[in-house]
Amino acid sequence: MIEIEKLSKSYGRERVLRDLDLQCERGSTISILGKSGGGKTSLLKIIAGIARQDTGIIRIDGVDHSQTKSSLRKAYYIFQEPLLFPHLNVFQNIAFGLKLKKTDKTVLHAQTTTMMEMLELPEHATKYPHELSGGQKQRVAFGRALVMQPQVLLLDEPFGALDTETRAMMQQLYLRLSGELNFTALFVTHDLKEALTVGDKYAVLKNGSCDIHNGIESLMADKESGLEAEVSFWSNYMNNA
Amino acid sequence: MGNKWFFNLLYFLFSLPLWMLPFFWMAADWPFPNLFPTTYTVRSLAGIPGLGQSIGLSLAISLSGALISTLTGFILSKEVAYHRHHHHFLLIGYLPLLLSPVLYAMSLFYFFIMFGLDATVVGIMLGQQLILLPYAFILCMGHWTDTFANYLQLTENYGANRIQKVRYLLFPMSKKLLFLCLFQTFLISWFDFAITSYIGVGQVKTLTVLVYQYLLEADYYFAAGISALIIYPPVLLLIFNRLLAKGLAFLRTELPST
Repeated sequence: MIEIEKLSKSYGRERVLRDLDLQCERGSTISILGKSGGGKTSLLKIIAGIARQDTGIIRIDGVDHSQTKSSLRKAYYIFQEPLLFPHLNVFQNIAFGLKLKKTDKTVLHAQTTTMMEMLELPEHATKYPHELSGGQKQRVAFGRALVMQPQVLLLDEPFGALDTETRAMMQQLYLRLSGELNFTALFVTHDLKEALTVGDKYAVLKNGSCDIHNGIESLMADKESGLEAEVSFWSNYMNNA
Repeated sequence: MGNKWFFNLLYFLFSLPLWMLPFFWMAADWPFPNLFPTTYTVRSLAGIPGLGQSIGLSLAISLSGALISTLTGFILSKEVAYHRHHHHFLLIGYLPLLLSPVLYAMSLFYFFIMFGLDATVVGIMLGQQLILLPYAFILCMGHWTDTFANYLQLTENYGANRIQKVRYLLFPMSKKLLFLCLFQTFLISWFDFAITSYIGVGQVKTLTVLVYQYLLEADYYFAAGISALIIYPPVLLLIFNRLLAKGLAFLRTELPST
């Protein structure tokens, strides 16, 4: 479970997060929507511990991680770019975090192999990133995070650079993994359809704080979510077609 | 096919001085307007006094200069690149390269005398760093992109310590740049004459100083011979470097899977 209390962050005079409160139950996913530059990435990076908040409390499964090192939080950040290491093959990329932790070789091999099987990657184990498609690269990036058995997964538009078909496939894969591994996740996206597909709840970030919506009706009523505008666009389009 | 010939011609024309040097060195008689010498002779460079020492000195100055400037430039640029005032630091880095090296040496010569560094190897190495370090710094600055910053954050997120960051991220993903920087700074130092002769006051006889000495003595043939000694090793190194790069690329495809 993630609990955020009164989180604030400024860059110079610009205040991107102001007294933000957020709760995400264990094993659930919150889709985060909002305008560009609205502080979504900052929020995720602060929770991961790779950026620092000015004030506020971050609790993961009841433990205060407001000041702990990034690696001790078990909260892994997945970037929009897969950021695979070009000098490592698929197996080595997935095993990266385990290797840093100096995991026993047999355990490392077993866990990485299992993860590759879950992601349907075994036939690509010896390939290097430049030999993979966009979707395969993002699956490897997922594997690298999931093999660490995260308590929290922080996804920053992970499918933003993929084509529509691959994106839909990755969303289904995400849902399957989320069900199997029961991780808690915050999923930033600009795509409303994606937000509705992957999220159990929806958060709309505006003016540095966020509104939580438990269902589509509530999200629809929030003008900042853009859902109402999207629905009315498509209904007008279909009526005119 | 036409393109191949065109580029081969360009390669030949631009490397013409390299081909002419041995003729100059071996010429016994070369009357104008002949394109090549009419008679040849063998001039052994072994008889030149202090040549071995000059080669050793040039190598030591250039190798240490290249190593120091590359490592310092790399580390410095990484520290500065993600600073919010990074553009100021970059501009400051360009300033030493605006002056010609000899003017630069002249303007700072007073300080070299004051600290007793004139006419010393250490003084020359320090003088060369005034050019090499900004060059390495500017070359490395372009390496630190937003994507690289994300890689750094990713390794931090996965718990890499400093040594692991260097081993798994910084070195493998920067080695091409490091080798390029090392090679370029070595060449700048290897071919430097202005700073070496000014700060060294002609007392520290590197290969370039030796060439100039023979030119002053109007012994163009030996000057050409020593010039060949200066120019050919880096050219061979460049060819070797390209072959090595090809070899490494081949080896990489043969690496075991896990």
